[in-house]
Amino acid sequence: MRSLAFLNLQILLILFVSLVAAAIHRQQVKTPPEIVLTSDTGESFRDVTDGVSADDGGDDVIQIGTVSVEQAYAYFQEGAQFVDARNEEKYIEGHIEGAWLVPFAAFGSGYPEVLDYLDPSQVTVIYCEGGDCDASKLVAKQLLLHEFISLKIFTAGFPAWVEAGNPVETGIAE
Amino acid sequence: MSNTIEQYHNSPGVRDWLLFVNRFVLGGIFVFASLAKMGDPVHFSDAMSGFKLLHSSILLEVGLFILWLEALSGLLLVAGVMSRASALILTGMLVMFLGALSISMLRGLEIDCGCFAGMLPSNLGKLGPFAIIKVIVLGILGVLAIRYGPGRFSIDKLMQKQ
Repeated sequence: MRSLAFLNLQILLILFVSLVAAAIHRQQVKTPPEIVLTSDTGESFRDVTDGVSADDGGDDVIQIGTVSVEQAYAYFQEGAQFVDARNEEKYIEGHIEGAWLVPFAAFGSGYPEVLDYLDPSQVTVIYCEGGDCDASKLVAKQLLLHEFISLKIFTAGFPAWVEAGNPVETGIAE
Repeated sequence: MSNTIEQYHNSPGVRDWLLFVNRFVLGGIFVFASLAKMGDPVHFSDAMSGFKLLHSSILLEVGLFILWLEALSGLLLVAGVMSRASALILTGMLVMFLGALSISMLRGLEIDCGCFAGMLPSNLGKLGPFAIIKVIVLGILGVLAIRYGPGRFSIDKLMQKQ
């Protein structure tokens, strides 16, 4: 019984020290910007990635325009760069023609090499699987940190692109 | 004769070495994984958001707590200090992680499991049977550490002797 109480005490001690360490660490970490999706006006190449400050909280809020399948196709025709935020398996099965594979996991080990092939100053349309898929938003947040200035999120994603009969390709792009 | 028996009892056996390796592997994996993720806690909290189990406003705080708990418990387990307590915490975390992975798989979520801070190739880091097996194997190591204790090569044992 005494050893059980001692064990509980040790567990509480470890939890408490971790909590204090996390609280101290939290003071050193800048609050990440909140991403708010807004409808794009449809104007091609208009930069809708505006960094604005919230009135009260002081935390950064970044607005990123969402595009419909028609708007995404318009950007495609105008030569915008497309980023596929899904995993490699899905990308190989099929992706928007010319899209680059940039899954969120690629940022886990630091700087993904694929970013060397992308131009941060160009319009970048990010998509994933549609529905409640968050990958586009997470990748957008990472691209903002890498100074991409004009991002759009194609919320309906790859299924809507296929349904619209727009150009797709399979395999890994060379 | 009694001297030989005493020597036998005092000399480390295979069991002690196995318990040491068990502690070292389990604790070491947690220390390594948590330290790698600590450099970018925002990325870790973003990965956690994929599970859709916690509100976004507390993800960073919870993420940091998890990382520090992993690092501290892992370190204590490797050193053999408060071994049973740290093994219990790590195993408890693995059980919760297994629950989160299973729920996410049942919900059909397409996410990166956040395991090992992207140190695995992307196809192994994604949610799927491999992630589940990985957690179960680590859980078994945790149960062994709880059941059989730290063994001879631990600070806990040294302190017991004194």
